[in-house]
Amino acid sequence: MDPELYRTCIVLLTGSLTAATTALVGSFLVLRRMALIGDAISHAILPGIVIGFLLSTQRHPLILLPAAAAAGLLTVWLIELIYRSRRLSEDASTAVVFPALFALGVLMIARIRYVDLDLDCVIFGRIEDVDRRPLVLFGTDLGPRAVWLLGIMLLLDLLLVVGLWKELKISTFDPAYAESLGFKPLRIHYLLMTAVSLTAIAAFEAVGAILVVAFLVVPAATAFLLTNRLWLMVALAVLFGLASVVLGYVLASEAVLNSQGAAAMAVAAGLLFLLVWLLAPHHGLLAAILRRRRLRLRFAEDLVLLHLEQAQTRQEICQTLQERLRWSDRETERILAALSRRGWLSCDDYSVRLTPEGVQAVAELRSRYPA
Amino acid sequence: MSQTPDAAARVVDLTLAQSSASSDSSAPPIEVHDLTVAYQTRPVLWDVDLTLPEGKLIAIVGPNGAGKTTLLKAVVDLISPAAGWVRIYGKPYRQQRHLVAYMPQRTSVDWDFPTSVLDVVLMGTYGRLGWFRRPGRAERSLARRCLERVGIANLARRQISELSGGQQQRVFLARALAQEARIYLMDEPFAGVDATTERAIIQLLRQLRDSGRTVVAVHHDLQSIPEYFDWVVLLNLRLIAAGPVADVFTPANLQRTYGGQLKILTQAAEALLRREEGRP
Amino acid sequence: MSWLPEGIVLQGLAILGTTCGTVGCFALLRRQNLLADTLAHAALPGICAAYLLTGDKDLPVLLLGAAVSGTLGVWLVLAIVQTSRLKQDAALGIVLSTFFAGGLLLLTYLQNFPDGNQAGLNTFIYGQTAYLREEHVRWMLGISVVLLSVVAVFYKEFKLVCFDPDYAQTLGLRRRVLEFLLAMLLVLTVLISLRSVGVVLTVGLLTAPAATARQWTNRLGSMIVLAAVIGVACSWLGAVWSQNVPLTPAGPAIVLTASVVMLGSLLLAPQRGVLAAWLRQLAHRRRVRLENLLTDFYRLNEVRHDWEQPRNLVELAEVRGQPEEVVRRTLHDLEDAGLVVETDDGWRLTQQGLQEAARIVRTHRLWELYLSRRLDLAADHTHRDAEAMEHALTPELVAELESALENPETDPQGKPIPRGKPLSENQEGS
Repeated sequence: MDPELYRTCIVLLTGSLTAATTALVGSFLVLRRMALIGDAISHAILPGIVIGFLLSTQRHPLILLPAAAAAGLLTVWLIELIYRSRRLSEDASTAVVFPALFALGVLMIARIRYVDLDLDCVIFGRIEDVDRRPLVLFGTDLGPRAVWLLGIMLLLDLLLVVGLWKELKISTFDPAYAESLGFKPLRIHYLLMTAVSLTAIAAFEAVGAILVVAFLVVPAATAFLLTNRLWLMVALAVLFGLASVVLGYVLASEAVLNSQGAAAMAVAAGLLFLLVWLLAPHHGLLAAILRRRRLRLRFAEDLVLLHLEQAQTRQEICQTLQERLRWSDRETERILAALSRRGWLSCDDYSVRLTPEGVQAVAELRSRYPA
Repeated sequence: MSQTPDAAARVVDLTLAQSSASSDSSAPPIEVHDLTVAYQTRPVLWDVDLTLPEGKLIAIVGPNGAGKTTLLKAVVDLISPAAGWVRIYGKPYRQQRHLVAYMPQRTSVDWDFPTSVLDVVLMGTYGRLGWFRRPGRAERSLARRCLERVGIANLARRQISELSGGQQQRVFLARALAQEARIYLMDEPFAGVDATTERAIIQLLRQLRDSGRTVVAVHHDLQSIPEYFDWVVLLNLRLIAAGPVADVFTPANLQRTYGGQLKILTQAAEALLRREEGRP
Repeated sequence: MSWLPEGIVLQGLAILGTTCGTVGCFALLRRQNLLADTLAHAALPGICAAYLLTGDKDLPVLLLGAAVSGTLGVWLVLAIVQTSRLKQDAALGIVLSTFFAGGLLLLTYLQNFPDGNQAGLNTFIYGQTAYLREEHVRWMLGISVVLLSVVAVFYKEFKLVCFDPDYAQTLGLRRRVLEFLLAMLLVLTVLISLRSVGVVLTVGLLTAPAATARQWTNRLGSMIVLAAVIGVACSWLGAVWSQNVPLTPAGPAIVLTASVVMLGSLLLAPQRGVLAAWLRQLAHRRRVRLENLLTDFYRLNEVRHDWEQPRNLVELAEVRGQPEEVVRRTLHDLEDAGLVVETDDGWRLTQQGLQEAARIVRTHRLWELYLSRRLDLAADHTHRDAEAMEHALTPELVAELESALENPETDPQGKPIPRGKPLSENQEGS
């Protein structure tokens, strides 16, 4: 195979595996309002990585993964410990714990100074170089290590999400109810945190410790704006992740920006989010603005209808509304026009009359706001 | 002739401070006109028309979500209404701030904030001080007096997180007193306080009323209304009734306020009224 | 090479520590530390874009870019929270990671240019304390003086708006203006620290000193001063550490120092400290142990009204259901307090011990009575609750109970409630 094409395939495969596995656990992070815990974990596993690396310079997954899981759980546990002691808010505890662990990790890396573990790589990843780091077992080259690691992680995350689907679902939406059913939400919480730590470490080699957050949070948040179904959200999150990988790859290619691949993928994910946030049919910004405007109009119409009984002529209505609601004549006219378009009013230049449909609408309104 | 509005306001303030009981302007302390407040399209207050009398102890009563807090917040301009307006002695709130003291719900703040009891009470004087000026000796002694009036002068230097629920409520009350206002708007002053504090608070509110102040309080306990208040505003999205307790606080009105869902409450109120009026 | 960092570095760090400590206090009270983190990350693309547009590596130009993109990031967070179903955490995560990625993208893009040596910009990611130059420090000083004077001028308004923003608004304080000012303080502080400790660790320097100070004081004024002092001290300590231990970058060293100090304070602070709370708990448990044994004496002797009757270890251990060794230890503690004395036949209450025992039993029985009368609890359900309450009720509460119950004579089981002045054969006889 053409080496350039092979590289492209490997990069895209690595990116896709990262996107898929992070989207699986990331969806639950977003739903549980713990996106920033994901952020904290991905920063704070740095010391875990270094310790794992010290124990095995080959970065054997069996050593690296437990070390990272331990560091991740330590982070979550520390944050909760401080927060629960009620000396600091959750916000502040998070903001104290993860910079501390991150600083510790940076210091450790600086002191070790192995060629193979430089800070830039750990923090920003080097997705372009994954093919240069093969997994060698018993003297045979089995292909890029990152692909293996991410592949295993994807299987584990799939196992977790599919196997514990209903437990995750119920403990996410109603922990108290889950508790009463005997589901042990706390155990599921820590299981999920372990999964996030493991996923973060599997992904860090490709995309680095900070950009992992983009993969964990952004596609899942994008999906959340589009659907109310959990399974659809998870599926969409994976899709958005994959799309950002492809988009990012193109963006970073030599032809366009010729720059860092992982960063471009994260930026692509952000752009997709921006697009969906603006345009999503129900939860999008545009839809919300239109809806709000419509509701405001409806509300204004209701107000006018309820004031109609005290006035018959156009002038009287304008006067009443000016007096009672401080509306300008133009505003009143606008609402009157809207109401006649609905067929509830028949207006001419002078008088305003409720149509039979209008009378019915008023009656219905009265029953909605009983006097 | 060139009396600036500011100076005029100060004159008004002085006369108010001296004269106590009777109102010296014809305008009522609080006038609510056609007030409608909506979140999106869901109205929380609908077309409320209300004129509150001067120098009375007034309860706002209604079920949860009836818009009681919203009404208070609309009066002090924390919420802008969808329609209608509010007047304080005939003028918008913005011009009459110095006449109104607002006491929010106790649970609306973080009581672990690093500050002392006296400091919280001093906050009541900030509005009068304006920008840049720090509370001085006069303000401090005023704050001390206010703490004395609510009976916790001994706690002045205490950190606020060390207070009990009743003491927190007293601190907020003292802060409102420090504003030296004519109208006191209180959101659930009796929520979560012990019996002693409740007695102390109602006594203080009566003192305020007796010196001509108008006191409006959101209240939950229907039983104590005839004993505590002169006037009652029954609210449930719309204004159900408002007037002297004896006229308005009737089982029929309560039924309309609380709907059928709270029969026990109305029965309780009925039983209470019966006893109050000495009926068999 | 001296063990101390250069004077200019120390000056810069002093400015940095003071500002971060001061502004960090307001961020802490308004729970905006993670917002500050997002702000710091979101500044990176602005720095790169400013360089890309102007080709200028002067600090003010870069900082301007950082301020613009940081503010844009924060504004986006607020907009996402207000207009979508996503919550603050997701909004922060999105803005933080994608803005940072954008910065990174620009940074690597700049490498393509012949003179696009991005080493200068790279420092903003990790920070480079050791290379602070006089020009930088002048800028930091300027910004910091402005910040601190704003805090000094609006101190009272900031305090109120942090504590009770609604109330502030009803007093006529311009809440929006004040909140905007506070946000600007945060932006400028983050900008100052970016170059020294970097994008990722800025939040640590902003949070840790303020959180530390909060553990040591209960007043906002002293908290701010303390946080500033701690900020300076930790920065200097970290810089000295970095200077004297090879391969130690200063930024992480500073943040780690501040964090360790913070954790230490959380444990050791005299009032709020976890250790102090634990000690108070121990002391309370000890008191409960002592008081329980005292009341055992009382109840045993009550049967025959013989208050002087000595009791031996075996019988006390049986009543309490504790090993004899524990009871013996408790007895010795009571003896040290002068509440019991050891006699030939066992242990006996002293006059003082009897008074104390009567007080506790009185509290216990009053509480039982209150529960059974007011809450209609069955008489046999009140004992356990009263067992805990007898050690906790203050004299004022007891007085209130007395008046509420109209000075009762007996508890729900019909046992007499000892009077304020305890009865004893001696007193009654004399």
